[in-house]
Amino acid sequence: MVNLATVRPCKGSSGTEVLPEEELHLDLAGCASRLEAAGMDVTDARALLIVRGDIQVTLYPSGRMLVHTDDLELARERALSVLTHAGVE
Amino acid sequence: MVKYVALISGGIDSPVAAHLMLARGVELVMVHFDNRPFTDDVEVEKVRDLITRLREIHGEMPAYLVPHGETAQLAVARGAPRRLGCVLCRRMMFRVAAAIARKEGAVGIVTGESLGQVASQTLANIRAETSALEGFPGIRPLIGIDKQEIVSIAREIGTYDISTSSGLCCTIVPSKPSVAARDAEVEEAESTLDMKELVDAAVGGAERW
Repeated sequence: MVNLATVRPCKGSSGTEVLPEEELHLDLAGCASRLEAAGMDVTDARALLIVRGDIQVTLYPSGRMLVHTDDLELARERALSVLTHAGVE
Repeated sequence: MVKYVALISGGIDSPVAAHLMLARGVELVMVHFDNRPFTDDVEVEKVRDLITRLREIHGEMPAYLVPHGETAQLAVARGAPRRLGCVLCRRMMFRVAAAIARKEGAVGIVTGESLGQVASQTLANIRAETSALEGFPGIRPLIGIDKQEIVSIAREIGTYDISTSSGLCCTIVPSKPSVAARDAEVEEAESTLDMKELVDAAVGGAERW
């Protein structure tokens, strides 16, 4: 299981950044396929994936995620769910 | 009265640029590019509040919310070199602003650029972006003004607190953006995109605020 850290990207941000302890090198196209197979609504913008839903998550190849909530615990849960469904162990 | 189109974001600068022009008696048509899903709903509401504040000061003015993130931004992200993303994004906004200017009978386009503040605002990139104004003069009231002066005006007119309230910055800014885009590479990148379709989609999907 990937260890995750949550940080607020800047003062006043309405989003939360969630970072894996070690940088990942994700195959975003593969992640997109797996997320879609899990029923998630995904937009592949090549440099990043947008996982839509009540709380949107932007996933970068490094594993960094920007979660559209300022609730740190909720952000962490949502980020973990995205990574798990993307097939990241 | 002379009419211009003014681009407005949720940031500190563009409302100040618009205010300076309005204070000189120019009529403005405000245009905001809706960058969702690369920003969030909060950012759009912030711009709505900024326009409300400008209306309180200067009176009613038309405003448009133009789709951008789901159409042009996504097309640029998928089809163009990453490092050119910000320049191509600005050029797309300028083309749409030019189309709205023609529709509204405006004679120029006001933007909030301040020299060197961000990658799309270097002299070289401003030059590379200007041709997308399609012959309209680009008016940049803040071009040589220091950030502290801009902040001071924003505080004075009551837009600073709105601009710095909670929001999400663009999520697709490249980590190494071009700071000096060349015409040839810009043209090549745009040749892979259906510019007319993207501009038409933006203008056709614009929502009057």
